[in-house]
Amino acid sequence: MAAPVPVMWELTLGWYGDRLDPGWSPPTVDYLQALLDALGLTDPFWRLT
Amino acid sequence: MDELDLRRHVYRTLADTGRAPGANEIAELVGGPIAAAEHLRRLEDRHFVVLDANGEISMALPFANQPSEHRVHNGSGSWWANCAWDSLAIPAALHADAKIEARWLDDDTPVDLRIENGRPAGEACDGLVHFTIPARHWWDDIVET
Repeated sequence: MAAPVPVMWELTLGWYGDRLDPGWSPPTVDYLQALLDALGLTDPFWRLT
Repeated sequence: MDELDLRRHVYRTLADTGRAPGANEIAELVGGPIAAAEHLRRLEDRHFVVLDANGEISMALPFANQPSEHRVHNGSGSWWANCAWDSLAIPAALHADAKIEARWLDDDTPVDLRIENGRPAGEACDGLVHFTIPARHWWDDIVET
């Protein structure tokens, strides 16, 4: 499976953009799945659970 | 120092220096090598870091703590990434523009990819990031992923 670089960049901003924030806490699976879904990564390959 | 405090220290050190603190450095923070090993194991249990066979941090996603085929540079420093996605994720986490140094898998030519003004730039913008392992299995073996 593959995703275009610009799509991966958008995914990455939501997935990793807060990783260095002092108040970071682990994201929920629902949050991460919503990021994938919003970018059209809806194939079963992209299901997190 | 709780797990989130130690995680914060690990990530800050990686962001500032490109390297994670060693177990010996963590031992000074938490009261000795046995406590350090316990702390690091708890971080790994929570998927905050990945440890190598010696109990040292090898990954704190998206950062790699050893040389890899993906390098991220800018005027502030340089960082190793674990994979193509992580090479995008490091500038995203740093909120910084950067140049990504890597080679295409199919023909071993250099990848032309930068983050400029907060957006991808370069010929690689027309490229794809490939995944071989379905998302639900990424953490089954994160090193392989």
